[in-house]
Amino acid sequence: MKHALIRNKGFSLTYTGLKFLLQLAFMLLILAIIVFYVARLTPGDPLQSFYGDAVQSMTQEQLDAARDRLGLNEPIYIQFGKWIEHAVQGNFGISLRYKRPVLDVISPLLGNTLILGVISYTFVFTLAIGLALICARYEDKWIDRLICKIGTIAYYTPSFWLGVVLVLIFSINLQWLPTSGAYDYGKSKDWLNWAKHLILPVTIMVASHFWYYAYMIRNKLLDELRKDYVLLARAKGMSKMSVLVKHCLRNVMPTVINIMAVSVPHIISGTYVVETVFNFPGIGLMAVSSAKYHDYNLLMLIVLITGFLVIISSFIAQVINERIDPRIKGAEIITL
Amino acid sequence: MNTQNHAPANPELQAVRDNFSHDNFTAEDFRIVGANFEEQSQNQSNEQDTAKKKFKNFPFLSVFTLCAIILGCFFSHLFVNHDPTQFYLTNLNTPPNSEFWFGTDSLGRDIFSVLWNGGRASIFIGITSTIIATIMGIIYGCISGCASTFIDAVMMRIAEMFQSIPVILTLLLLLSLQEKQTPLSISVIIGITSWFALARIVRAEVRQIRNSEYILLSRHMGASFFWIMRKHLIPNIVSAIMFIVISSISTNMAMEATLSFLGLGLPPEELSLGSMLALSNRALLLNTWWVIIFPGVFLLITLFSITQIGHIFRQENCKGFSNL
Amino acid sequence: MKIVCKKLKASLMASVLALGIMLTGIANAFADDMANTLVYAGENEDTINPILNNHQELPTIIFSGLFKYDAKGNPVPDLATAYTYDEKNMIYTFTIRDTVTWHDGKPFTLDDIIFTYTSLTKDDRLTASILSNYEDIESITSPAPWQIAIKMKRYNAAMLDNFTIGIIPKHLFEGHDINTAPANHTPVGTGRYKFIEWDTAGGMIILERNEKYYDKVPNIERIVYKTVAVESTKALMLQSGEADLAWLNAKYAENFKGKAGFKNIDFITADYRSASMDFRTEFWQKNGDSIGVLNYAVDKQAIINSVLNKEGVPAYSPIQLNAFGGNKKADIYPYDLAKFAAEMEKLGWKKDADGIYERNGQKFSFIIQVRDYEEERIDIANILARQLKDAGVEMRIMPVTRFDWKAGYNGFLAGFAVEFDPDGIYKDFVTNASDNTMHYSNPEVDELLKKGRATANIDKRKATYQAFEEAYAKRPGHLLVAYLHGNYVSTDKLSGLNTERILGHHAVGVMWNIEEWTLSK
Repeated sequence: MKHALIRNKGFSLTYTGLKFLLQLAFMLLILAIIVFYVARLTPGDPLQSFYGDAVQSMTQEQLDAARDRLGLNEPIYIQFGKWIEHAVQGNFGISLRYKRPVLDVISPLLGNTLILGVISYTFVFTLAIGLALICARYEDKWIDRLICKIGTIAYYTPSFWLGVVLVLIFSINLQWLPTSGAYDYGKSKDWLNWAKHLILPVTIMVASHFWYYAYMIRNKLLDELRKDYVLLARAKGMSKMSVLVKHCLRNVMPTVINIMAVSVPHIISGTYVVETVFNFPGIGLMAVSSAKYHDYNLLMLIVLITGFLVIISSFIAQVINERIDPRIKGAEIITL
Repeated sequence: MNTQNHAPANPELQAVRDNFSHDNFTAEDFRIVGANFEEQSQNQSNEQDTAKKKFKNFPFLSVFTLCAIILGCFFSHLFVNHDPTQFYLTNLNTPPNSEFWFGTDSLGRDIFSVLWNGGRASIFIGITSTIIATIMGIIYGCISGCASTFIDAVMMRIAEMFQSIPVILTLLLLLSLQEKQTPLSISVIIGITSWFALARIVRAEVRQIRNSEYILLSRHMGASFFWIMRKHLIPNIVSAIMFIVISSISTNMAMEATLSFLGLGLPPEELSLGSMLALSNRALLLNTWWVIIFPGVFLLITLFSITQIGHIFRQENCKGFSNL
Repeated sequence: MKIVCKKLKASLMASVLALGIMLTGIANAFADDMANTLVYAGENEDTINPILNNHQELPTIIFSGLFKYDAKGNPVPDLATAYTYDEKNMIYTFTIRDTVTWHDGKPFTLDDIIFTYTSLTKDDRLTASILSNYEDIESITSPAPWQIAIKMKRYNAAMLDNFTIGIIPKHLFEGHDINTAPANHTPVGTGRYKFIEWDTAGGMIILERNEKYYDKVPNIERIVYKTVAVESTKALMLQSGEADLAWLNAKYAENFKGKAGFKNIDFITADYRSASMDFRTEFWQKNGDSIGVLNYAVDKQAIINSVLNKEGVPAYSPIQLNAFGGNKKADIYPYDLAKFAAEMEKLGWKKDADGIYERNGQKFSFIIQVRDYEEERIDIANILARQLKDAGVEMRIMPVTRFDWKAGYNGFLAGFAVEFDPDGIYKDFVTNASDNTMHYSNPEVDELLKKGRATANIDKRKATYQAFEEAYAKRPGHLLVAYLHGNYVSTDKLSGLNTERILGHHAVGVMWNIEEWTLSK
């Protein structure tokens, strides 16, 4: 009996894994198709990105030849077929703007964005859970109300504007922190220098995201507090906070983990803005400029990387939740 | 109501109560113990009190502020003292004074006048995009909620997939489809990128009520899907989505500001709060704090008021009392 | 609660401690290694290649050409030590330095020169806006060791200018499409600085001085070129000490005037802004006669005083600041609204109910595209549009990131500079010339520019170009607005920048004497 159970569990994991891989491939394919078509429907000539204003002095034959070389003359579905064929082999084409393989352009930036994203993510959820606990503990007391008000204001403050204000204070007036970039020359391995550059961007990321999640978790906790076991635990003499942390938080953990998974695209969106504010070399900054410059191949790769991150994180959340509580299978969490 | 809820779950407590009921104690002999007893006893007082509480909690200040802002934006021509589209080239970067109440920016535009004028575009975008998103969300959610399990699952996966693309990326793509943005085009694009969550909530609500007798009856009497949606589904889900709909006005207004900052918003001759805020980068270097602060605070107040109003509709969440 | 309190306290202490460590770290972050390193905040770069990126700073210091420009903007020998010109056979013969090596250690040979010029004239895969400058070359050969002979099809007075183009290494480009060659990102040249690393993740390009340079080796050991996408960030970086030198727009530069620790270095540039009208569009084909008159309605000085913070001069000719141009007689349009109204009436325009001029049932309304990331261009366009509107002409603005030549806009907010030979405008103004993007056509202008190109005598050339200015002013294709000054700001520890040179578009060319600069941090 015990044996059978274990085997069953193993089967379930491989099954989830397979399902996940299929899902991953399918979603990436759909994403690729959409982006590929949308990108090619946009007005503006990709040759313009490739040759800059020099495209104006090209004759019709030169233009045609250039289109041929870049494979822009064929019907879109054939272009897409070719793109897929190359992409599977790890060749994502060359950037129209930088004129080098897109993978070379993106790979140094990916690390930067991941560092910014992961650190922000950690801080956002540490703060969100902490504040949610405090708010739930003092429900409707002044401290809860105060946190709610501050949180709402922080959430709706445009992050770029807050960034500008903080730069004004900390970089220009106090000269404590750098205004931009990821690290200074020759300091790429100096973590202190990195940290210095990350303080403001991470602060902005946290300020503009924490409340959204804190509020969701707070409300989940409040629902939980209305359950009967809380009364029993209190009757046993547990302190309010330990009831909250040891029982309620634990019970809402699967939801929290789901929220954390769903939040990945939000956080990624956030990095786009923050990277632009702080001229932080990352894929967000690159995505904005490649959309403006009609750099299709670059944009495609960025979308795929993003999609990959999102799907991976939802998979991880699912696996963790199934470990915590095998009853949960595809439990649904709706976020805005 | 609360005690009733607890009674079956706490048989021991019930037993204790039963024991005492035989003796002749008066009410004064008892001291009420237990979590939140004060609030619970308050709850037992009559309904007038809850009405009063509701009245007390009603965000009068927010409603008043928002009304003032909306009226101000739409009738700004009656009271602004400068032409918002004019460049007062002899008054560049003037700090707030008696002529330019909120000062001027680096091109000599009067911040006070532009603020009200720009607020109009922002509010228009916020509301229009929300209406679009709401309509799409409700229709999609209702169809998905009423459909067979398979179609429902497919539709929800699609919504989830779109939701999992970072919204800025989707916006980038859609905005680049069109060369020049207008307030309407931006509203449409923000609208069609923000209905997914709403659709999922609507769908969850619809699934709960779709097998109710009155809906089945309607169906059997040959009502069309849209009739059922209009007459039965929407009235039932309105309360569930009201908060989200209202707060998404704020979110969409903030999104417009972000797009302007990224250089994807309205063209330069069309002003919005977002494009004014986008100038803050520049003002930073020119030490013109009024260019940064006034539009920012104006936007924040607007967004905050809208959210506070949205909270009226949130009350029914977290029913009952905390056991902590 | 106690537990949480403790935890909170602990984490608070930790973060305070961390902050403390960081702040002490900041103090000595710049101490070492940066003493002789110049941090330059520049624009984003996509490739570094003198052929593809002839308008940028880095290619001019990494690469070198047969000729280079001196302080006055005249071409003088560089990789070539001497040259002769055989007028009869139209052959330039250059004597080439024989001791030059590429930055990667390979010897520099005549093959590299032949390869470069062959690519410029014969490589049909190559596309670059400067190619038309080399159309007159017939052949390039090496008649003797360290001698290069370039045979021309016809005389071109500007040819020595064209020989300033940087020579690219054959061993890295042969067999590649020059537009996409990997060497565009790891450039190897013969210039004063050698490329070390393109650190994308740090957003910087690192150069070190070329110790084996054949001429004066620069004083400054290293250049860190930070790629900055946003204009205001450059100014922020200067202000916080993260950058030593940057080109700023006039408003930001103004902010540094008189500030301790900073220096403003103001160059004259030949860079002008104008609304350039597209004659391929129906609107200007019909109404091309009404461009010049718009000048009356534009208060150029007011635009300069506001947008450019007085750092500029009103423009009346496309070669106004060139050594051959600047004919005051071409300045025929004062700011005069009454005159504008009178002239418009003469041209047959009448104001309609909205206060916009109308002729033959067509409104005087057109759209120009403006690059969205250049604050000054947007500002100029905004005010221009407003001034025209007040006068009764509707000019709408379309912000774009890259100019779109096919969308059918009626024009664009142009930036042009002819800082060297005045023949630079040939390709822009002669009917059907290679860079005449707006299809401007004026027989009188054609004739004068062709004459200017073929004239060797300096005085005669000057007279020709001045005549061109007058002819152009009468029937212009641009609504010229202003010449911009090039406002650089640096730390006061940098010296040696020489403002004698008239800079080009986007104030490029500041590093023309970089070998003389010194830094004392």
